[in-house]
Amino acid sequence: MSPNIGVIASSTRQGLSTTSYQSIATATVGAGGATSVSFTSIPSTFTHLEIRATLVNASNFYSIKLRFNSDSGANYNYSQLFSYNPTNGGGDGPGTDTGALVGIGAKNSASYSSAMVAKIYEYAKTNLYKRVVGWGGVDGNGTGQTKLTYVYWANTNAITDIYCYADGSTMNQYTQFALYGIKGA
Amino acid sequence: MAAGATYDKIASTTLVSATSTVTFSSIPQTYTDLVIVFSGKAANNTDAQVRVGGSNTPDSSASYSRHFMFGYSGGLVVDTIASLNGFIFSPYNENTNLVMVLHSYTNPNIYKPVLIRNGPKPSAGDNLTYISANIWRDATAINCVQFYSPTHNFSIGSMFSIYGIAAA
Repeated sequence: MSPNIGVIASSTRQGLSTTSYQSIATATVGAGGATSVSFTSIPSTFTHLEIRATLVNASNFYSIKLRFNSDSGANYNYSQLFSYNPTNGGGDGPGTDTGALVGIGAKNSASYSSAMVAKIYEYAKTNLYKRVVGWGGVDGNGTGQTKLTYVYWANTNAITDIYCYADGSTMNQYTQFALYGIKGA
Repeated sequence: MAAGATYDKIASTTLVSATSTVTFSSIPQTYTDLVIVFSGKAANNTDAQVRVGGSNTPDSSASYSRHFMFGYSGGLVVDTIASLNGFIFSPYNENTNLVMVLHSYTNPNIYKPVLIRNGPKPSAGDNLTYISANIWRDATAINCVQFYSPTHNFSIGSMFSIYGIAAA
């Protein structure tokens, strides 16, 4: 994988494993902060991918999005179920975006963090659009948001690179993205 | 480019007698995230808590908070509640499920974020699907997790499990 400036990237785990859920790579934002992290040269040997993230943001509650294979066009079609403080919620979509919405960054604080889990289905296939399900949420002790999102990328290419970014914000130190592969039967 | 095994069961227990409290201590610090699962029921519909802490001591102070939404026959409900004494979920008097993801549980620099999915109660009128975002306002590395049902005991047969996910 290719690290960004301000990002501490681990080496890929090595060694044969027979388990069906495996760590591929991790990127952790260092003291300088970063607007994005990237995973490149993703192996095609899994059936699905999962990204798990802990987010520490420099601005309140920014959207966390993914781009595939450097595609920044409006090719990400989404719908979402959402809520936000104190008692607001509803649905949104269908719509198009320049990234796949999967979660929310944290309250603007050095200590507060948010969590996100996104699954990318059948990412290596070349005969179908790629689907993403995102689950994210943030709580700020009196403020908060949750999201369940569904996105498809209108492209049949196999996903080899994933660009993860906070839309309009910097991600602060201790933000971490971890990429996992899930094998099929 | 093979990867390593990363999703492990840490501990699991199934109740042989009803109880209000189930505690997992000395959780290894070698994973990145925890996945905490409950499958069971309580003596009656109730709100229960999951408490976490370091030094094998669950924190029962008002250091937790949640923002949630749930859908049921009456529509969508959203609320935000500060200063709670645990991560809230709802076991019912029929089998229900909780999936709780606790990210970066050993990171000593940040408050700990938690996502919860909970539901449903399989009887007419009360079916609901619940999701929430939560935080424990403490930067302590977590090594214990406690389920606590203050009003109605967890029932015989209820299963509590903790899994660890390691990052590369």
